[in-house]
Amino acid sequence: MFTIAPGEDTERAVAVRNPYYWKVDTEGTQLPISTASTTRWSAIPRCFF
Amino acid sequence: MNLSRRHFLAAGTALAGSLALPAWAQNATASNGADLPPLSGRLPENPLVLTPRDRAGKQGGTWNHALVGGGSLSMLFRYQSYEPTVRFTPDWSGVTPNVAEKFEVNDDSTVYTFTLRKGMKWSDGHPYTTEDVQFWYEDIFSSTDLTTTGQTFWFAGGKPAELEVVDAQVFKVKFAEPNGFLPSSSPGPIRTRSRARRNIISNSSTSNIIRMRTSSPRIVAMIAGSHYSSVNAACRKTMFTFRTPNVRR
Repeated sequence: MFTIAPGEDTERAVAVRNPYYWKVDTEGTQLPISTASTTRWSAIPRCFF
Repeated sequence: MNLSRRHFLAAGTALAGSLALPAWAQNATASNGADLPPLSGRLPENPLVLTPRDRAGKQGGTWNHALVGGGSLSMLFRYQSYEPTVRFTPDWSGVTPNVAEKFEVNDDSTVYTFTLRKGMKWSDGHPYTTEDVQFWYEDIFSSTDLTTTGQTFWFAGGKPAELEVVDAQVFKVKFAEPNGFLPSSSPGPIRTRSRARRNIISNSSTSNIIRMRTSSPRIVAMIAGSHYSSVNAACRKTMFTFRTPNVRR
């Protein structure tokens, strides 16, 4: 889940764990493991994909 | 590996005595501090169970990326939103259910039947069902404003596929002629495309599910196949927030 979506900030995007993600590991831990994901970029894209 | 929620919870109960924090106590609150249902109420009845490649991890930490812009931005897409209905296996040797719990195809590759996971939810807790698929089909796939060329993998014999919603979890995709390309429609290596040409339909990927919000109301899109075209079409119109079941605000 993005808290700062691509395009909302010129330098970075931030996503946090989706509490409803439908995957778990064999230990029963809900995925994803990381609480958050940050992505920084050095150039401003004209269009994202 | 398939593990029903009942079995999963039973396993979790067995583990609880040895763990300081039971699995279902994880994520007790949302990122905004709101209370959340217990994990059993957040997972589908049949969650996808992944076997760790090295060892099981513990929740926590931040995954930091750096991109140099331009084309490498596609990595953001791959890391955050590669959640097709079925997906390639890590070694590219076939496909495996992902969002879908399973899928079947008839002998001449004209009818695909997908089954979604009962109880699966969007990241705001709203149920994810065939209604979302139908929305994509009717308001995205069939919209010439949003989808300029259509999703080619959803065409056969010059005609677009028909969508038949069976119930809240099951939908069928029907083609006028055999279409072995549908399951291979996720952008992938040429090798995968050639597999599809040999009609090894059981080993490729199909549609992608994306929820976009332009402003209001929300647009829910299940973007099949080369989802880039639809995303780009939307991108040309407005800045947007894309979201999938695992990357939704």
